[in-house]
Amino acid sequence: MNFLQYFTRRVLLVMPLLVGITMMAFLIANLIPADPIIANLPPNALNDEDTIAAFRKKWGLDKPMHEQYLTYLGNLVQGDMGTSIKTRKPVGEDIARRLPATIELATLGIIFGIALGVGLGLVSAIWKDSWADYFARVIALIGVSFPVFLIALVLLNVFYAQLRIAAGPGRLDIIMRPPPTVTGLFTVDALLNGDLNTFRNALSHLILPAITLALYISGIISRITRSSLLEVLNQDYMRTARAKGLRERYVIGFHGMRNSLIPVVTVIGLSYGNLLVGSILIESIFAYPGIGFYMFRASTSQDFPAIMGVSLLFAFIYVGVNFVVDILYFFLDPRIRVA
Amino acid sequence: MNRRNTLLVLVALIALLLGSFAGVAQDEKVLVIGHTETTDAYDPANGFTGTTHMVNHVAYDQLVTFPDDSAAEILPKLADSWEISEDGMTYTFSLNQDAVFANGDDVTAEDVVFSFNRLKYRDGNPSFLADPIDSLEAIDDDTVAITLVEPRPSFLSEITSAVFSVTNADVVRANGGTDAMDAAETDEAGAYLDSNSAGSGPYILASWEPQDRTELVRNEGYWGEQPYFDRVIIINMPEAATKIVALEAGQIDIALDLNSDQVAEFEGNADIQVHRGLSNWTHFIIMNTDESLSGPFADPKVQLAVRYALDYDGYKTLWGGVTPGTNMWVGLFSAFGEDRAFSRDLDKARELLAEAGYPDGLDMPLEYPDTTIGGVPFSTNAQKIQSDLAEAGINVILQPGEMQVALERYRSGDHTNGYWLWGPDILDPVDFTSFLPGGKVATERNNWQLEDVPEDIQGLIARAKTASDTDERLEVYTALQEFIQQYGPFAPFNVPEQPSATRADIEGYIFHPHWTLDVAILSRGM
Repeated sequence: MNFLQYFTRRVLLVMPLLVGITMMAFLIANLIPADPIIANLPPNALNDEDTIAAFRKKWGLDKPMHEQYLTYLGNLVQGDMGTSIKTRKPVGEDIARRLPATIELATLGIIFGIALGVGLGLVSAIWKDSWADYFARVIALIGVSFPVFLIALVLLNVFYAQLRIAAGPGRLDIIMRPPPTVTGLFTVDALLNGDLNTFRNALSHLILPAITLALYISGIISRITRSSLLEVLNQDYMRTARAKGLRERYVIGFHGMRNSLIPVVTVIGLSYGNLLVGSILIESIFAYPGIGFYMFRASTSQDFPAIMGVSLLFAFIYVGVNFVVDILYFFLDPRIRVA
Repeated sequence: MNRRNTLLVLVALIALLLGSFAGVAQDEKVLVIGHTETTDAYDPANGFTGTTHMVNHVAYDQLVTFPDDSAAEILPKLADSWEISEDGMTYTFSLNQDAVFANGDDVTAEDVVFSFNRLKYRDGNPSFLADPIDSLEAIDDDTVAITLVEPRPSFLSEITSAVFSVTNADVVRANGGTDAMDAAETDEAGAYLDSNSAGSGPYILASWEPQDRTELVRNEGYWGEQPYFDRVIIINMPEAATKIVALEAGQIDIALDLNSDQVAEFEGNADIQVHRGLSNWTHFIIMNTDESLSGPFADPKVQLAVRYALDYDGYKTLWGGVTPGTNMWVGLFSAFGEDRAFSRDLDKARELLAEAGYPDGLDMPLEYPDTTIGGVPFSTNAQKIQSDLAEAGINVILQPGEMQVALERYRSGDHTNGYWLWGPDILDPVDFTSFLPGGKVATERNNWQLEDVPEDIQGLIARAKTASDTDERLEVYTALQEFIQQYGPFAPFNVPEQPSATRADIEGYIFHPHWTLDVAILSRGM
């Protein structure tokens, strides 16, 4: 199979998946037994039938569900994601304004996460059953099993509120003004503007939430790295490589790592999903105004257009990342090229 | 890069990061408030939420206002005096000559006419509040006459609201605003007014990032007393835990929207001051007056027994606040507060039940929404009601329902007995008429008809709706509250506190039932 064939097949598989996702998101958002009216109107207005009727009409809640879905899909195809009930701005605009914040955080989070996860996995595998292995596995276990909001709160409490060595909630110190918008990434914009002070501040505000995200995803990455590498380390060709007199660093780095990477890359792709989900809680706790924070507010106020918009965005990102992972296999694993 | 270089880069990076905590030079006085943002809009004719009221209360002025801490009195603001016509239909306000907008323009009668008409025709969330207004007339630059559809003694209380903010007509028009009858379709000033203000208040709205932050800067040309803070930043921090750490770390000065449990964390922290204001929610039991629905609980004697059986102090222990005397919110003029509230008397309760023919007790279904409002979960109070009434021989059967379902049964008057809460629609005693026969709660929801009460009470209810003289209102509302305490189908039991916390150096913090917080009266001590 050549690359083009492989690529086309992957793209075709993605299409129905995305349509299915819009349908699932719509169903879930509609079927949960909560009422957007109660969530969005002040309690006193709940006494007023006219206000409620007007609200239903305005947001199309008076129409049957299939009609609501088809209208939504029709608008979506034309690039209109609807208007958020909560912010009263177009969802597309809301997302565009908040996405850079999340990209900034997620990028740092995934870098930390991969470094930590792969690093711990390597240590565990190479020094199997030593104290280093146990230590690395405990860290991984904490990352996997502790609720992410708890990690976030502990980090905030210890490093920000008590020790005062880390920056707190938000993207910048509250009294600082954001740099002029170019990319929307505060760190990049600050550098472009030559403003080191703002750059430092923005970066420092990313540290704690990025570490939280990293801990959250590194657990699974390190476990997979460990088991996958251990398996490879026992292979005959590893013994052969050593027998040839190659240095240990080269044996593990080239023969070992490369061959154990496939499951690791898969799990990193899957972790991206966790990263997005994690960002909802993490951003809320760090009052970090990104997509996750937006999604949290949208969910708690039954803001359907916003929930749909973010779900779709998450789905696109997730599908996109896993698409890239599939493509990476092609290069990592020669067997796929012949199969 | 060799290993030494890597190390150097790392060290430099860490130094860079630590350097950022050296602090930013602070020559301006900044106040930071952390809260749960509810803003739907800052356009006074379109916004109708807690955050909107807090911001517009200082970005604009209203004709009249309330005292800093209550709703018990009407005070002059843009209007320095007013007259009410004999028939109670026309209010004539004379404007303060000194009042100017932030851009220096005079505040004129024309601006008042424009603002109120725009509110009325804009068809925004709060527009219904302008329904009682029939017409407005600018008699001269400083005199405006407002004619109502019918007499409305609560009118002055109503126009204290930030919804009735006076906007600079020229500025709003220049940004696409209109007060024409078709304003709902043609007004385009909403986007401008959501991130800029056009008012005469002590602050100017400088920016709004929805669900993130709102910034106010001081109006240097304010016609009244200059506020202390140069800049006010209102940050959206919906997570209570985040607000708490940010307050402890001193990153925010004020944390709003906390509950009793959360402020308990600050006990013994000298840097933080806890404030326990009064919420405007009255929690109460309602017993259906229709015997076919509530059975024995339609009997006023049984209803009175319920009032004697509740452990009022227990609810105060749980949620703070006060025990109300009646369903009139305790912060209102003439309301019966704790000094005129019931205290628990189980013997009396049992005696009343025996008199009513239930010496061996009886069952009481209790419907309520399974939700939490203002940090108070209904289920906790419902369980307490159950155990309180059990001691008097009433076996409460709890029937929690999903909000919408429970609300539907309540609204349509089909419920048996219920546990609900009420926040005044209008901060005026006339709001209490909802709980009197003919009113929304009493009749629509509870089938308590006007003909069920004696004629003299019917007369008092009619007078309550029209009386505007202070002495007369006091007399009428006192008599009605005394009546409902003995014969009403309600058992109000708690008005919970509304806790919040500030850094210890913040001075002048007062919780207000309408605008939450007046940032213009705050300052920072030593």
